[in-house]
Amino acid sequence: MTVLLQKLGVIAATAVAYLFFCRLNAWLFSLLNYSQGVDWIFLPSGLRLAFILVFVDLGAIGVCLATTLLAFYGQVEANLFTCIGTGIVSGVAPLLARKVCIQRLGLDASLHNITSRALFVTSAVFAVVSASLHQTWYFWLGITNNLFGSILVMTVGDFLGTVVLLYVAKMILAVFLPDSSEEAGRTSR
Amino acid sequence: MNDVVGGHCCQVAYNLRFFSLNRKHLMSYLKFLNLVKAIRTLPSFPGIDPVEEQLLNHLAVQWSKGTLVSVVETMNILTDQSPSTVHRRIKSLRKKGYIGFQENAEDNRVKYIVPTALSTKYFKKMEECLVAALR
Repeated sequence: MTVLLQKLGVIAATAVAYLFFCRLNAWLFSLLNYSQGVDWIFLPSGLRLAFILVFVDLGAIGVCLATTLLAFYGQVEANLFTCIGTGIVSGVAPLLARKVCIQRLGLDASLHNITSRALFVTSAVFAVVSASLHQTWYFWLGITNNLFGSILVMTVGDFLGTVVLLYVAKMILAVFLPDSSEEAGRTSR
Repeated sequence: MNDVVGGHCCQVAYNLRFFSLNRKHLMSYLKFLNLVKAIRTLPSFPGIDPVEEQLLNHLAVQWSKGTLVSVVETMNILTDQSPSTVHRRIKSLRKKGYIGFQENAEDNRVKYIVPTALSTKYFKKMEECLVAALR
């Protein structure tokens, strides 16, 4: 029971955080919107990457729920089939990208071998896979006409959003949680 | 003595049991720690070695005086380094974006070393560190 509650807690927390970041992105970068659901900078993609890498399936469910809600309340046409489909694509795409990174690029599932370079490569794979699946789905539904243009913009937006968020996280970590091991190394030198 | 060893073994067994029972939650936490570690090591300023730093400091002093420094003059700026070593460092600093070249309008064989946005940012950061250290 406790485990189930904890899992539900993780799903709810990821969904709420993702929803908040989607709204924040819409507010901050409304001018950088390319077409429906496609932005030149998409901050939540960084959060999605972190959720999928850390919580895996639970993170994907959270992202899926948040995207379904967002789609239902205005981002995409409020058709239940479209909304649920968009949510599923949103949750499944990063899981697929994670699988690609693990199987093809040698990323360890527990992330013990992740470096800053691997983080960039993983972000790029996440952006390409997510944009391709999303836009193929939108193209199939007739929401987008320019498939390749939209894939390109969404890939750029997802990647830029991830990089921006990672650097914001780096700054926050540097200010509020300085690396104690680094400091210890410096003083012992 | 045996009690101490026995107690230690019990503690280890308890720790292992704790880890195996909470493996899934701990995995998420360990993944989070690994992710944080990777984020911390994201590149910020391109790394510069001590000679490059020394060279950049010398150049900054000249720039602050409003003096234009040519590449040839810079090659002899560091008395403890050979001109060829300094030349290599000039090239690497340019490649990293810390310095730029500006040709002399009258004689295009003469190139001046000029600061870039990155070097300005670098010195600003150094200044901030100094102010923080003095506090």
